[in-house]
Amino acid sequence: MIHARQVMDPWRDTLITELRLREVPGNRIGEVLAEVDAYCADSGQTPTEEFGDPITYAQSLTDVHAPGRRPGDAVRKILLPTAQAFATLTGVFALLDGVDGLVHSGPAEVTFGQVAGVAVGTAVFPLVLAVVFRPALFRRGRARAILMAVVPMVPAAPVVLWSTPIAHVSAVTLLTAGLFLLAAAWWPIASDRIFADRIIDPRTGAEPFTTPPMLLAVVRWLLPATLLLAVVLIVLIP
Amino acid sequence: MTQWPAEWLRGALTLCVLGVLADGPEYGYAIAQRLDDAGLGTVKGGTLYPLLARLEMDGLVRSTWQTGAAGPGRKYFALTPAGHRDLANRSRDWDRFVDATKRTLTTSQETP
Repeated sequence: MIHARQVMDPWRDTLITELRLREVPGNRIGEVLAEVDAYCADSGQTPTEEFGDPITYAQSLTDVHAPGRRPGDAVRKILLPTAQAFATLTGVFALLDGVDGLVHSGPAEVTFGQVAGVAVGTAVFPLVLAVVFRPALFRRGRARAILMAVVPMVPAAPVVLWSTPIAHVSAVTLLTAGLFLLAAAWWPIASDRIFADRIIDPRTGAEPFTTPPMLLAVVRWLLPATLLLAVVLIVLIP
Repeated sequence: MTQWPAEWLRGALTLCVLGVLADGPEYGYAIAQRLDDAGLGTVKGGTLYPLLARLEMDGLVRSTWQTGAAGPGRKYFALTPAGHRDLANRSRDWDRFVDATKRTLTTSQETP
């Protein structure tokens, strides 16, 4: 059995990113990579010599390898990220307020700033994700980095600016609601659903490149770990 | 080795690839070699595979990966029955097109 192990290099890396951005499914990307590999093995040339610029090559493949607009695309691209942003933001504020209320043995305070933060974040996050993952912007590393750094701070601004309480809610109720919403928002990440569309080499049926376990762990546990740290800080610093 | 104008090759490449596959299943690099040997010049992988993918999407070609004795597997392409019919139609049209081109050139050369 010959294992057609592929070597990751900048050319293949760029091709994969570009095909992913153009929503080419993982099994089709595996097919394209195997074709490049087999052709270059026969010709003795490099991928650049045989297939040219990887971005241009990805563009030439998109209309044949990427499925057209499917029913349910609008739900997948807009409604789900919006629901996820809403659940995450509401969950974070509810959890932290609930813990704070329990620590102080009183009801939890909901401020105008928190409500505004959830509204702004729910509107802005899916929009920014949709923009950042468009091929043209994704290649502009600096603009992408600035957007990704600034946007998470957007919902925090109203919270800092408007700290006037508008409602008092039972701390246990708020804490329970927060945990439920966070679990719902985190489930697609924890259950590997977002990593499900894997690149498969048609010659071996295996993944030619595997995501580093450390990166998977960071993506999966970043939110719970950060929240746990925040809860510990609230408990320790009343 | 003659390098034909790109737009000529673009017009004839699909027909020529179908023509190569009419002789039997073949893998990507061998198709490019056959085209080169026939005098069509060098066809790069970056031109060939999108064309083959389009033919496969249209149901004119089917592909299978076959493991070689040495080196990585190769993807073999074969004409489907629809591909054979399409090749026959295209060849007939191409002959008429070439005749029309020749007649036009002959007429223009004869006219001072």
